[in-house]
Amino acid sequence: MIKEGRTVQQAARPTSTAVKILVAGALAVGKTTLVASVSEIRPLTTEEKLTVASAATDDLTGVESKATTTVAFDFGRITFGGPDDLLTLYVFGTPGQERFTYLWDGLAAGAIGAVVLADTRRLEDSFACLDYFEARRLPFIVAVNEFDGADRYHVDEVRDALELKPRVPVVLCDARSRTSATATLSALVRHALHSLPHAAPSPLGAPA
Amino acid sequence: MAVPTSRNPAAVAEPIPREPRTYAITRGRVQTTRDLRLEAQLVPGRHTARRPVSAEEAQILAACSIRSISVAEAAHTIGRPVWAARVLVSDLLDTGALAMPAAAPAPGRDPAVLRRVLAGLDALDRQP
Repeated sequence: MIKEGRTVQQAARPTSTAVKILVAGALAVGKTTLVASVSEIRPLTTEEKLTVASAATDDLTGVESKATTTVAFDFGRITFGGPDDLLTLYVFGTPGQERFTYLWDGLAAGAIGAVVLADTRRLEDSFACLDYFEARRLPFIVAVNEFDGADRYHVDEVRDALELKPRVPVVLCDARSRTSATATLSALVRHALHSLPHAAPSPLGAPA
Repeated sequence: MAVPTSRNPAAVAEPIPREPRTYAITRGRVQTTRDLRLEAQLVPGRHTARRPVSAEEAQILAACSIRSISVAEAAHTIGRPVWAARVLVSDLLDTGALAMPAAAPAPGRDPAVLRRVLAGLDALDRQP
């Protein structure tokens, strides 16, 4: 392969494409578990500065206050292809907390979409995430993490409870299972593919 | 700064800030003009650094010499927040010590890329 310098020079420049999926949802809904289940490496942790709108806590004043805070988040990685045409999928677990709405714009920019993990015992905790992705026009699906001991519901019951638009897929998943977690990511990518307009607009927040 | 020791147990209760401070590593800068997404890929550049690199910069260069890494992985590698990694990565891109491989402008909305991801995930799903 390195017999002739000419051959090396003529070789196509290796490409390295990277895409990401966000895993969102309320605190302790299984985001970290899902990231760990799909990742080919032990999930990594880092910190990012995010803007926090504490809307729910400021009901008395009626004023949304915003602050910047540093939050930790986990992410995993799945690589496809060889060194010359590497395709890396990053899966970011977004920080979640019921009382705050994180403004994930920096995290979400350019993402394929988001998996909103939901727990049927506290579906209302998912509303902030759903509102966020709906407003940003980022493709998302709802994945009901089937916790042991939680009542089982039909996906249509979850859809009704969350007042989801018919086009938003709802799937059941077991975040601990690699097969189930991988299938959940597939469902999102399939949905994102179907959501692409024929004339591709700019990512995130493009006018419809 | 009191170093916690067995002879000075009181110092243990204090939070121990990372030394040096992150602001010192970025020489006071908190942001960069470059749009460096979390997943943006970094590879070794054509030029070796023309100036001595800091320990953190050396860690980033070493990590991407094995395979391309993302900005988020660079942050994890140096154990600092993403904003700090962005500042250092931007410096290394300026000097040519780091480079970004050619990439589609919006791979997250590129049907060909999405189909490849889907095929890759479905292949994983079929693995035992």
